[in-house]
Amino acid sequence: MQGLPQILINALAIGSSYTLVAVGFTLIFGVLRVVYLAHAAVLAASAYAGYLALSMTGSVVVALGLGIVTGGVLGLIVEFVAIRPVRGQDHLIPMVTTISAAIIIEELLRLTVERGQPISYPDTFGSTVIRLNVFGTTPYFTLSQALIVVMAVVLVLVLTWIVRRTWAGRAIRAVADSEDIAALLGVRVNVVSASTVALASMLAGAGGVLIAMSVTAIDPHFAAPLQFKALAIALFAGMGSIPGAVIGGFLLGFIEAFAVGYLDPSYRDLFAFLVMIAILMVWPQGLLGRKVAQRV
Amino acid sequence: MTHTHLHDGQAHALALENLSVVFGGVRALSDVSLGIHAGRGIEAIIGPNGAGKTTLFNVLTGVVAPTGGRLMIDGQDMTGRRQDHIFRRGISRTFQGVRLFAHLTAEQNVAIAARSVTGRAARAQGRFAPGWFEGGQGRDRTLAALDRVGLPAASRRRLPSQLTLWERRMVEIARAISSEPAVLLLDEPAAGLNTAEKARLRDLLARLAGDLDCHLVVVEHDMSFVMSIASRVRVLNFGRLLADGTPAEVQADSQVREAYLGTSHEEAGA
Amino acid sequence: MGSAFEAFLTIQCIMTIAALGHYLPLSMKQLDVGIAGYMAIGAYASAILTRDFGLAFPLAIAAGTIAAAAAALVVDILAARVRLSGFTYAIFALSFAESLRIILNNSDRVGGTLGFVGIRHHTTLTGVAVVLAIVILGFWALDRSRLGHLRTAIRDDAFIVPQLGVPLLATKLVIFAIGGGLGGMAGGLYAHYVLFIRPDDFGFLLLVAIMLPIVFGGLDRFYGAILGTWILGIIPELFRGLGEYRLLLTAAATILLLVLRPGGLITDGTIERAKGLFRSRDAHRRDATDTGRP
Repeated sequence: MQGLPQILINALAIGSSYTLVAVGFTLIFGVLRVVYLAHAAVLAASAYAGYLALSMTGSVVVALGLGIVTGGVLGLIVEFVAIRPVRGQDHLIPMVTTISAAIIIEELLRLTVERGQPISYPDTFGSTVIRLNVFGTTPYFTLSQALIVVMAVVLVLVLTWIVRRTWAGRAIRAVADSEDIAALLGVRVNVVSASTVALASMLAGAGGVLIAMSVTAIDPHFAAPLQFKALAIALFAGMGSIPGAVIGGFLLGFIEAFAVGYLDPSYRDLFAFLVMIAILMVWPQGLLGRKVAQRV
Repeated sequence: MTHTHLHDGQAHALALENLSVVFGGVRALSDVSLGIHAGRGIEAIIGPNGAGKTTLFNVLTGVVAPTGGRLMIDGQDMTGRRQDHIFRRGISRTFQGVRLFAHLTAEQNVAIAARSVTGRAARAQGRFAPGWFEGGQGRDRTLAALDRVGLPAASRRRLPSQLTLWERRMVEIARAISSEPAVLLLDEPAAGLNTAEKARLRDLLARLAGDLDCHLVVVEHDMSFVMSIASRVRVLNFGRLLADGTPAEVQADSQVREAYLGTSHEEAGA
Repeated sequence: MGSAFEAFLTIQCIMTIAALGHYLPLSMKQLDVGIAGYMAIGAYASAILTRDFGLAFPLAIAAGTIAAAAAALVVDILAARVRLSGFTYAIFALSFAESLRIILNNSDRVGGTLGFVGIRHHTTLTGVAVVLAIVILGFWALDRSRLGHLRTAIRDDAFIVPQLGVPLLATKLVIFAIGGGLGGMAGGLYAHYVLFIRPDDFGFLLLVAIMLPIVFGGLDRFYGAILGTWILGIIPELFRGLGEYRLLLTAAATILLLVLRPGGLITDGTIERAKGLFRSRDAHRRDATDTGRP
């Protein structure tokens, strides 16, 4: 049994990592309206790239940078190969093509790096443990956990700024509102689609490196539960809502931290699915409203 | 003339009582009351685009649950009942722009509807009829319906994409009459047809009403078509029943001329 | 147990049964992607019945089939209640299957993550081949039955189906239940062949392994699902050492084919053209006599 302060710290760290994944995910859903299931693979690949950078240079900054670049590039490739050619098809087809793209990425990782065995990140300053003393309990956190929280806040703010204040963001919101009307007004839907996936994947790339730093080991499938959770959060938030994804991410983080702290930890992953089922049963359109454009 | 007389003592196969439909704050239909008599007859519902004609059909077939009012079939309240139940009570329809199942042949398209009423009829006669396989009464009904609309045998095994517009429309009408309905709702049956085909359609509909002892309700934009075929015309405007009477009465109605005939000439030729 | 080839054929037959089960909802454009969960239910239910209750194998398989069909009914009734469609339907079904996997992983009664051991060997190649033949015969009959025509009608235009007197939900549920049941049957046959099952065997990757070949083969005809399953199953086996790359090849082939032919390998167009080839000479002669042209 952990003390309440420790649970709150864990909740903050878990929630931040979920937010990093979910914000990009919900953006893709809101704009492209496809069942996009390659996010976990892109995230894992970025984590591997970060591992490479970290073992070669030892610099967390370089690792983060390479993770973001890898995420962005992979996102562009997935969009070009698995989404663009099948846009306008029945929901099943983009679902299957993005799953295929994810499998290709994951299998390539499995076949090339350590025969698919889990790898662990080298020690960095991130492993440093900080102990606090709060009301007699001694909660602790690692610097990499702190880094996730900080980076989640920074990156989500940057993304929000891009979507709200830049020309590209206006185009994204226009497509999210209505692809047809946006196209009529001269917005190039292909460019918007690619840049949306790229932005979201860069976020996932950063998230991949940051999350990998705070877990013991990673393998090509390590992000699969994260993807399901991001899906639950995107549903909760209503597809396409960035503030909703942030709220949902932290909410799920808190639920899980409390579940781990007070209940049976082995059921931790079940919560996301139960939340998804509950949300779909009660609010099939998502919780925080329906119209996408105002919330992106 | 602006109000229908529901309690005129005659039997109504289908009746709406003070019916309203609201879609997210927009009144698609407000306080519409109308009765459709049992037995043969052809009447029409006209009105400008967005007047609520298709919504009215959707209410009559149970697609749209009314916000207020009642839907009565044979004197029984069917408000909020499932669409397939309403269909089996003898209300059948065609769709705007012809909607056939693209991967079923003409005959199979008709059989979908024909066989959804046979199981019950057969069971009523004490026969075992799970209704899963082709044949029997459903097939008889299918062929009879196709004969009635005169679809040639060669076209019956074709997919809709291999049929002409006329043939597709005939298949859709055959599908709707295969259940031998009491009321047949036709949504713009003449749209896209040429003058000769319209004349053919007029004869066909008149014959169907007689043969099937069925009441036809036509939504149509083509005024001359409507006026030549219908014995009773109802005018909808902004979701309200504006007029109700014989074609001559409706044409003479000043409100109608103002709201519909006078202001939107482009409708007349559609 | 026989040779590796026999093992391959047996697993392929089982996967084909599962594929046909999964094909049913997909062919109606309903994204019930819970097949891995239905297989898990069939596998665990039948394995418990034969191991712990000494039930005869065919009865246990039947019970697993019924249990999985019931699970499919529950999932789809819930989904229908709130009118899920498109990707929310997919997410819902996935959540169900994944929840089930996590619950099984935490159930000591069935071995938890360590797996379910002590299953007796019952499934034979002959047995699954006969079952598969019956299932295929059933699909052939389905295509010619009213239920099959209703399935096509729902795929083409679900909106108007109830307005033609068809109880839409009941019809869909019957088809969903058959699909889930086939999944359960495949799961039971699988459990009594590999003799050791773990919850994680029935995870997302199993769904992928079943769904990708179906979509590869094409959803317009049930034999598209069969063809896809066998093509993507056989190719890695033909080249020794490619077994390792099986998933990679499956995914790459699927994505490539879908980009080139979004309908999959066998589509209605393919069928029409094939029929046209047979008919063309005949039709040509008739045309010539009809019109007097040469």
